[in-house]
Amino acid sequence: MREAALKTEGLLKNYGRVRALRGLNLEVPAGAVYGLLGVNGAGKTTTLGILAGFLRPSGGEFLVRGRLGCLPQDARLTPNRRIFPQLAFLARLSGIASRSCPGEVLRCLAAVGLEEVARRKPRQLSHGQRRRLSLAQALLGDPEILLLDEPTAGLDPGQAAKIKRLIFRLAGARTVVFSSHRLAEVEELCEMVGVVHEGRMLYQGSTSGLRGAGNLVRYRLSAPGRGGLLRSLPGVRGVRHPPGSAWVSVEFDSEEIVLEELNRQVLTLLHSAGVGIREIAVGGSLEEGFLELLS
Amino acid sequence: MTNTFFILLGDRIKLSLSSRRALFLAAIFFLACLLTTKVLLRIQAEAGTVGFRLGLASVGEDVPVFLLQAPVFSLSVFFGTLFALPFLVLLLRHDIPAREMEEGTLRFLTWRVGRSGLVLSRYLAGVIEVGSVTLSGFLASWLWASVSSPGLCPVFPTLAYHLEAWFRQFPYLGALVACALFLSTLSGRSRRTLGFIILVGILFLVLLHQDELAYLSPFRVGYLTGLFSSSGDFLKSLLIYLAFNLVFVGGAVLAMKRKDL
Repeated sequence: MREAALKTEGLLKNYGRVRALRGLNLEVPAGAVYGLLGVNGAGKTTTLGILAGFLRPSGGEFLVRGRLGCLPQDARLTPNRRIFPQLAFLARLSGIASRSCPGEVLRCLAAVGLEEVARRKPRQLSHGQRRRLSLAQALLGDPEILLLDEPTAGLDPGQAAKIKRLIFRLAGARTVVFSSHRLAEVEELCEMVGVVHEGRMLYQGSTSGLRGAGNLVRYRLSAPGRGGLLRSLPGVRGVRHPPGSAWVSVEFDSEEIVLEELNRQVLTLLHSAGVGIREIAVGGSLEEGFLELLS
Repeated sequence: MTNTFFILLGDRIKLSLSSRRALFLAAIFFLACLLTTKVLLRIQAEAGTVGFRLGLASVGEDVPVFLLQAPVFSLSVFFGTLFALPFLVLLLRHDIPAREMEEGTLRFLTWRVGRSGLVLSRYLAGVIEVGSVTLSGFLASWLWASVSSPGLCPVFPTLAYHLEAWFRQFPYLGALVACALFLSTLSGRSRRTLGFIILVGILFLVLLHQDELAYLSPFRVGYLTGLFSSSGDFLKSLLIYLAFNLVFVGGAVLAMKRKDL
């Protein structure tokens, strides 16, 4: 097990009478790309805010091991001051020598595809550009840990893809924690996820674990309404067919039947019933796992 | 003090001195000094020494020597400082750091620097900013006096007098900046801070009229004029204003440490 770069124990946060965090435990191994999931108001932003130091916890403990860079959700650079001196100032505060600051600023702007805006002011940029600019400031000084609060929120698909590529490049070399409502993005990038609900950690572990990859297989059928036939197979614990979907999910007991044998039996049964199989996917989607956990 | 503190301070000073608001207020301050000068010149023409005419001798036996002997131009900037300074500070400093909290710009700093450093850098930058504005008023007024009435205001003695007066008002200036910083940090909203500052100003004026509590008001005449005396009152005033500085800056640091940004 890798050493924890970030850790919280029994973290509490109250906003007046509202209890935003109720004893949240989180542990992020060094070098992991960790997705923080949860519905609106679950406590994701509060958790990241406490770790970054701009929110004060009401109780509990937290540990940050390494230099930090952070993309806060609502923060923005001073709108009427030119971008380059603002980033150079932040770079100096991040420990960069003043003679190296211009190069560092340009490197970070290039990383988010904004080299051309260095001489402009933040108020002259679009929402997406401002968001990427905030990400550029988080990269200054090459921090060991990056906390990104919804980095792709409000970005068009092209810009979001650029940010995803950047996070992908950082994986392994840096610890990256990011919150997002785009589950497909989390599924693609994260090896670990944490699901926060009502201020508590509901699930923390591998992404495949949340998808149920060990005991779930999905079939896209020509006649999904007949997926109920699969309940009769040995080792099958349950069959689900979400209304309107072409997919049928089969939950099985992995100790009773191995995946290959299950697939063989499913093929035989459906073939004899005249139902075609168009696609097979091992494990559920992250969205399914997430929604099931919350329910 | 760490290196980051001086980086923070340097950035704040650069921002403060390049702001249009500071230049505009320096001009207003200078015009106010000129206006006061004209009024005092008229008093002098009619009634002789301005200090005596304004009743400053009644403040204390050893307090107003500095004032009574002051050239009329110096006296005008002195009054300009004492009475215009609270408004200058109000207009220049009420939204620092409240506006930074509103805009969220402070969030980019919290993992890079300590919160005490944030507050102290803003306090020192504020003193330097308001000090620069008042200095520009003092110097402009001196220049004007030297050019327009060289007989009445000899160039170098008047300059020395202006610079000394400017230096002596620093504890008062610092207390006002610290008070604005404390209220701005506490409220976290620039408009709310304006309201707070006005309320606190009224409170200090009310305290001024309560004999037993008058010592709590930084606007007490004895303290203000004490700063310009050379006897025991100077030390007393200095200590009082330093205490106000300490209390307000300490309060701002504590408020910032407890604050969600």
